[in-house]
Amino acid sequence: MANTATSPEELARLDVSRAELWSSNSWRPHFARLRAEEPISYCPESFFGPYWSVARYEDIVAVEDDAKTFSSSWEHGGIVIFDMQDTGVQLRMFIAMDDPEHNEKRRAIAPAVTPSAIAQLSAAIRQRTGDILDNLPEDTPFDWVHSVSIPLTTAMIATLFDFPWDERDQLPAWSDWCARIDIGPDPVLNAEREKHVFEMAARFRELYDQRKAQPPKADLLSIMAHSDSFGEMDEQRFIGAIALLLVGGNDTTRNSMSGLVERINQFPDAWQAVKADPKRLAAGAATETIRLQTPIAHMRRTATRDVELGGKAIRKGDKIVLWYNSGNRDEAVFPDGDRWDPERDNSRRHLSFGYGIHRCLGARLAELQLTTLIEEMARRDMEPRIVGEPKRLPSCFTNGYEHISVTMSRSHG
Amino acid sequence: MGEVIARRYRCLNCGYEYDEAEGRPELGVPPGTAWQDLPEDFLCPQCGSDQRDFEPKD
Repeated sequence: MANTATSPEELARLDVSRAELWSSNSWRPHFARLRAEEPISYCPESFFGPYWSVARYEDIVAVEDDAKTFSSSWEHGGIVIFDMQDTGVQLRMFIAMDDPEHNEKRRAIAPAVTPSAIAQLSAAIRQRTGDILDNLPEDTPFDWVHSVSIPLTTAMIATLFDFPWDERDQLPAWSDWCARIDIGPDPVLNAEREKHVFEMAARFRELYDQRKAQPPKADLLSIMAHSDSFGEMDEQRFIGAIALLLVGGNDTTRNSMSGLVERINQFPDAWQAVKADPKRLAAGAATETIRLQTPIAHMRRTATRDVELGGKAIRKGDKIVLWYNSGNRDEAVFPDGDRWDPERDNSRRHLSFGYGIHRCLGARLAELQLTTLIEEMARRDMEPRIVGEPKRLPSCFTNGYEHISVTMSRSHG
Repeated sequence: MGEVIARRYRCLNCGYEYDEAEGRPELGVPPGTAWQDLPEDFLCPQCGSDQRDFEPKD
């Protein structure tokens, strides 16, 4: 068993938020031990301050199921391990609010992601996916992240916002800066972050005001502009609303699309099975990819009262980190949990979209994009082979990649 | 004629429970609507999941 040298005392204080665990892709054995031996553990010191770790599936669900005791509010620090309420970018987004304000805003956005609304996007998604795949080089290394994952997700988010098409290349960088919690309290990097985020907010504010002056349309900005529950937002709420939809639609699907290539390389037999029968297996392969990637590795809550959790005494005001990446590998729910199994019967129980009232609104769209990518790759008999070690993000929040060098062959039948 | 027992169905993504006896009148689903008689586009009122992510409670 990995890490048996760690004493119980050390295990209880294990800091799984350390950036090097994520950039080196070495976090799995630490979480396996937490699940087995210390599923609710307290880390007294870290880059992000003290925090509780919740590592098992059922405990994560229990916390998410009690939103009154375990608050998401930005006023307590929000939904990530880094306390953002004292920075210039507080991200007062509705996922970082409790009810009733959370529910009011969520309900206003929901019509944009109903099955019928998403079905209207499916043809465009398939066309763009096919175009990008058909233009990839063969037998010459290229970066999958920048050649496939980023262009596809950027096009999608530009469509959802009806963002000017010729400006869409700005979206990934803005999204990355919104999601960069790994910089912590560093004043220089926070100033840099503020610069990019306020630039994003200024451009979106122009578009928002334009949409408000126009008749309602189906894009996200127009929906917000014409909704009573969004209405006149303060600047931090506006930034938060844009950031949530941008990061939610961008980084998460991007990193799942990138993670797909790792899974294909790790489980070539499963990929052959998917290619042989994509109609039956593509959706399961997409769900398994999202489960194993867990592109948002954690959500954070703050205790609003003293409470016992898994036999541990949590104090009012304590920070609780729900490690979805760990819950998604909990053997009690997902036997042989590290295996990419497109035929796994309970794969849809994964926690990558969260659980409870804050569950990801865009889950259905993420599944469609990834399923379409898999189907189109299968149709072209694509065999992406990773060259060298992927370069990963040094973040315990956005579990993803900077680069994955790939060579690829495909059929021309 | 045997008594019809109303059942409850739980959303596995958020914990919301659909109770056949209560329906969801505000969503156009009258009390007594059986699970299999729900409109195809009925989504979890709490998290938006579709019907494949529900399972019988008991």
